[in-house]
Amino acid sequence: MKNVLNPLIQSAITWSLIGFIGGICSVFLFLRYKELDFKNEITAGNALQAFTTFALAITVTWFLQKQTQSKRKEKDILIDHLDLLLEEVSSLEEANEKGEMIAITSSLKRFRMNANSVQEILIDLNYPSKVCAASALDISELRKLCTDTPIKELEEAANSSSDQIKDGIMNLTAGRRSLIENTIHKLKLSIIRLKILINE
Amino acid sequence: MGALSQQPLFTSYMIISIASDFSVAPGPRYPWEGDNCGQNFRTKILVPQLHAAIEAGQILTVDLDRTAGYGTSFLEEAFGGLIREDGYSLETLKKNLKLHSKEEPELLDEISEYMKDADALAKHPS
Repeated sequence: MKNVLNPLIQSAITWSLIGFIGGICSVFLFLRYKELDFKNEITAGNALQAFTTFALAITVTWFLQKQTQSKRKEKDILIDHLDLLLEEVSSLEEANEKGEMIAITSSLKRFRMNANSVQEILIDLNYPSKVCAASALDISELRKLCTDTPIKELEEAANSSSDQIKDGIMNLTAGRRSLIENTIHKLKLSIIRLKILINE
Repeated sequence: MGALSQQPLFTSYMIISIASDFSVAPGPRYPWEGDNCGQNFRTKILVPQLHAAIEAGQILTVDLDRTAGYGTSFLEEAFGGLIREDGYSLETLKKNLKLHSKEEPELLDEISEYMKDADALAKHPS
């Protein structure tokens, strides 16, 4: 992602080429239809004009370059932040696989705090509303799936040891496991989509 | 749940911090599922403090920050359980119980949902 030229640089290159070709064409046209007449003297006005044009060109170039670099750095930092979120999702998957409640809850908390921080940064930097909306990574459903103990099922399991109840609990667990996998997959896709939107 | 800053200035508060007064690592719903469960938090800390706050005409604020994180079952048992198990009404809780979390403000809405669900179930048991 980082190696791909961002649209601002691409458009700068395109416009430079157009300007270069346009410049050459206008010189040829000028030489064909006009005769150049150079004066043998340079006035103070000429020198001042040349200096001003040169200084303006340098300042505009410097400003645009700095702005592009700063925007690129900003995007890189945000994308690194989103990579951390993806890593957090992986550690959540691992903790969920092992069934470690504390590891799951702390992973969810870290994820939420990081996601909130990304969203705050995007809003502070005045990113388009489309990007800010995509950064609202909701994990309340995932929290329920990963950390909720269904009361009724537990009570039934505690009060009965019949095979039918055991099978019911097994089915419930399998269903929830696949729901968790799907929700995690959706969350990963949302993060990747956000990375693309930020990189635009 | 209203934010702390939305309360009138003259109201007195009692504060419980789950991290300092209970555990930095809240656990599951019931004691047999693991340590620091929601049921123990509710019966040993939350209900006595809430009762004292209501008696004194004060608001009990529960600070949810500085823990390792919460599971749904802990939160549902602790706060939904106030209605389901201890018989508090949603109106009483809205009036006397405030929640605070800077780290995960979304938790306030989630807990509010658990309390509403418990209230609906208490009013219309299926």
